[in-house]
Amino acid sequence: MVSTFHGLETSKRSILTQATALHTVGNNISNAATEGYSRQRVNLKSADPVYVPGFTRLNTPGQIGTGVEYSSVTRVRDSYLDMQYRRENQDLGHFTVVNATMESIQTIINEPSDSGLSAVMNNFWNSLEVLNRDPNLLSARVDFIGNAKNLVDTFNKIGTSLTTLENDIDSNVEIKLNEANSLLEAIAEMNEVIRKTEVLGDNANDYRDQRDLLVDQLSKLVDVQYTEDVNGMMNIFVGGAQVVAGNEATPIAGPDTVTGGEVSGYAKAKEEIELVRSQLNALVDTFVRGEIDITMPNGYRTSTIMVAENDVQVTDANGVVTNYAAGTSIPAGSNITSSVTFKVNGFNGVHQLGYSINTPPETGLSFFVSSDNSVPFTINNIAVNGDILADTNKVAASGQYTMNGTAMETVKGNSGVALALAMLRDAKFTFPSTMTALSSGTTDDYFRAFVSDLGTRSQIALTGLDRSKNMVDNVEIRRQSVSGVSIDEELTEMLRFQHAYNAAARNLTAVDEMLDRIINGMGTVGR
Amino acid sequence: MRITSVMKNTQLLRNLRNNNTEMLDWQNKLSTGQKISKPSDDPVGVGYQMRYTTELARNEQYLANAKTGYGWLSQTDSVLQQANSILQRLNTLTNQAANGTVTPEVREQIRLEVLQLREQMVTVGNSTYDGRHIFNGQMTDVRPYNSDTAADDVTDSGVYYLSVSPSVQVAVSLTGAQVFGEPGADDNIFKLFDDIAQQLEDDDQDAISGSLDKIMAGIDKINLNLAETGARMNRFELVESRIGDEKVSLTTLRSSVADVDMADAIVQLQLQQNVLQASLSMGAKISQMSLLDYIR
Repeated sequence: MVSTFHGLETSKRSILTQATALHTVGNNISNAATEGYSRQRVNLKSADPVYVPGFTRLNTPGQIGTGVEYSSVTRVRDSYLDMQYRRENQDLGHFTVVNATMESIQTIINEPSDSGLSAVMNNFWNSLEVLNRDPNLLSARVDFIGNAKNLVDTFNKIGTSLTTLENDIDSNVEIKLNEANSLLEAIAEMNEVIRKTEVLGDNANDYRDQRDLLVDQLSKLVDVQYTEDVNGMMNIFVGGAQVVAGNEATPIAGPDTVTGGEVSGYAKAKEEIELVRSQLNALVDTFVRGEIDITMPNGYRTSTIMVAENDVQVTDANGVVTNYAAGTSIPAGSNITSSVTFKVNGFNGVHQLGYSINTPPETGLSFFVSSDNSVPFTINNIAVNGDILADTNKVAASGQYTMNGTAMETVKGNSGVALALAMLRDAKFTFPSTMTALSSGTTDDYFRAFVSDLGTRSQIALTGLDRSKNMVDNVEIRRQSVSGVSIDEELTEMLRFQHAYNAAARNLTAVDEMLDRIINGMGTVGR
Repeated sequence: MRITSVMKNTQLLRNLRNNNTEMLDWQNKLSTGQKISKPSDDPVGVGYQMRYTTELARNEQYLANAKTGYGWLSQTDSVLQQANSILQRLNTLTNQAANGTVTPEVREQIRLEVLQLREQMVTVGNSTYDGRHIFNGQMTDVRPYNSDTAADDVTDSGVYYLSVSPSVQVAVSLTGAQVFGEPGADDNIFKLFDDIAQQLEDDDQDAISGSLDKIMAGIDKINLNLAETGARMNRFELVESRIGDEKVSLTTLRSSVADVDMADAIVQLQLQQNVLQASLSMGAKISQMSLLDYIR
C-alpha cells in the first residue's frame, strides 16, 4: 500500500519534469540561430519505483512507479565531426590567404593588358627598330630614351608594390598571432569554468559550446591539436608546442612554428612574393649583364683591343685586307669589314661598343646603371644612366668612326650598334636554372614563361581554396545535422511535453478531488 | 539524416554565392570581351596571347621599315632615271661633236652644255631622301660630291640595312662608287664629263669618238643599278604584302585564344540567371514553411 499523497507526488514530479523539459525546448528554440550552439536534451527516466527489495518491503504486489525524473541534461555533439571540421578549417584559412595574395600579385604584374610590362617591353624594342631606321633622327632618340625610362619605371614600380605587399603581410601576421593568443587566453578561462562546473557533477553544456566555438575560430588561424583530460579541460598544441595547459595559456612563440591555418598561409604568401621577385630580378640582371653572343653583320670599328668569336677581315685606310682568325686579338682602331661576332655582357655590353654623337665622341657608356651602385641588377635598383637621360646624343647607336687627324669622329649615319641592340630581342640568354625551367630563351620567352608559371600557381591556390571551402561546408552541414536545432522537431517535442504537463495537471486535480472526498467527505454521516 | 533550419540556410547561402560568382564571371567576360582577365584564368592561353600580341607589334615595325625602304628606293629609282636622261643627252652631244664638220663656236656651245650637264650630275649624286644623302653609304649627313673634285671624291662604302623580320636584314642603299664609279678610276662618270669637256676644248676628235664607248658603258651601269633598285623595291612590296597576310592570321589566332565567343557567353549568362532565379524562389518558399504555421 502506498502513501496518501503518492498520487500528488507523482503528478508533482511529472509537472516539474515536463516543465524542465519545456524550458530546455524553449532554450533550444531561442538558440536556433546561435553560432556553435548544440541542441540540448533532457534525458527523462522513470523514478525509482517502490518498494526497494529488502526485508522492510510491504506485502502488497509491487513495484509501483513513482513518476518521472530527469537524469541529465546533455548536448548532442559529435566530437569526431568537430575534429574533421577543425582540420579542414586550417586548410581553408591557409588557402584563403594564399589565394588573396596571388590575386594581388597578379594585379601588380597586370598581364594581359595594354599597360603591363609586356606592352612596355614591346614599345622599348620597337623604338630601337625606329632608332635603327634613322639613327640621326632626334625624335627617334628621344622616343627610345622615353621608352627605356618607362621600362625602368615599370620595373621599379613592380618592386615597390611587391615590397608593400610584403609589409602588409608582416603586419597581418602580427595581428593574427595576437588574435590567436587572445583566443588561447579565452579557452584557458573556459577550461577553468568547465572544470569547476563538472567537478560538481553537472554537464557544462553551454560553456563547452562556447569553448568549441573558440577552438573552431582558432583552427582557422593556426594548426591545432587537442586532447581533453579527465577534468574536462582541453590541452591545446600549436606547431608541436603546448600552448594551453589546463587553465594556463602560453602565447604562441612565432609564426615560423605554425604549420596550418592563416598564419602558415601568410608564410607561404611571402614565399610566393619572394619567388616572383627573384624571377623578375633574374630577368633584369640577365638582360642587362648576361653573357651573350652578338653579331654585327655590317662590321665594326674597334677602339680597344678586341677578340672576335669568328674569322673576320680588317680593311685598313689603304684598302689592304688582313684576316684575323677567331680568338686572336684585333688591334684598336681596326676597321672590321666583315660580319663579326663578339661575346658581350648583356645590353650594357652591346651599348658599350657604340660611339655617341656628341663631341668628342664617347664609347664604353653603360646604358643601364644601378641606382644604389650595387650588383646584381634588380627590379628595384635598375635605372637609366643619368648622363644619357640628360643628353640624347650619348645614345651610342653608331659602330663606326673616322679619324680626322688625331680626333675621333663618329659616323652618324651608322646604326651598327643600334641594330645589334635591336637584335638582342631575339638573342637567347641563359637564365639561372634555379629560377626557371627555361634554360635558354629570349627575354620575351622568359617573361611569357614567368606569367604562365604565375598563372598556374595562382590556379593551384584557387583550386585549393574552392576545395577546402567545399569540404568545410560539407562537414559543417553534417555537424548541423547532428547538433543543429530543427524548429519542427522542437515544436513537436513541445507538443509532447505540453500534453504530458496538461495531463499531469489534470491527474493532480483528480487526486486532489479524491483526497478532498476522503478528508472532507468521509466520517461525516448525516451532516 | 536530420535536416535543421540552419542547414537549409547554409545550403541556400552557399548555392547563391556560387551562382553569383559564376554570373559575375560571365558578366565580366561579356563586358570586356576578353576570356582571360588574369593569368590564372588560363595559364597556357595567356602565354599564347602575349606571344601573338608581341608578334603583331613587331610586324607593325617591320611594315614601317618596309615602307621606309620602299620610299628610299623610289627616290633612288627616280634620280637614277634622271642620271640616265643626262647621259643620253651627253651621248647626243658627243655624237654631234664627234662629227668632224662641227665649227669651233658650236663646239664651244657643246662644251658649255657638257659642263652644265656635269653640274646636274653632281646634283643627282648629292640627292637626299628624308634629309639623308642616299649615295654616301652610312655617312648620310655629309654631302658626298663636291663640284670641283667630283671625280676623285671618296664616298662611304657602308650600306644602309633595314630589318624585315627577326634576324633578316635587307640592304637598301646603293653606294656612290657602285653608281658613278670608283674615285679616280678610268670609268668614273664625273671623270668622263671632265675628259669630254677637255677633249672638246682640245678638239681631239679621236678621243671624243673613244669617249662614246665610255658613255655607253656608263649608261649600262646606270641601267644595271636601276634593275637592282627595281628588284629591291619588289622585295619590299612582297614584304609588305606578307606582313599584311600575317597580320590577318595572327589576329585570328589571337582572337581564338583571347576573345570571348559572344553568343556562347550570352547563353551561359542567361543559364546562370535562370539557375539563380530558381534557387532564390525555392529558397524563399522552403525557408518560410515550418510547423509554426500549422500549430494553433
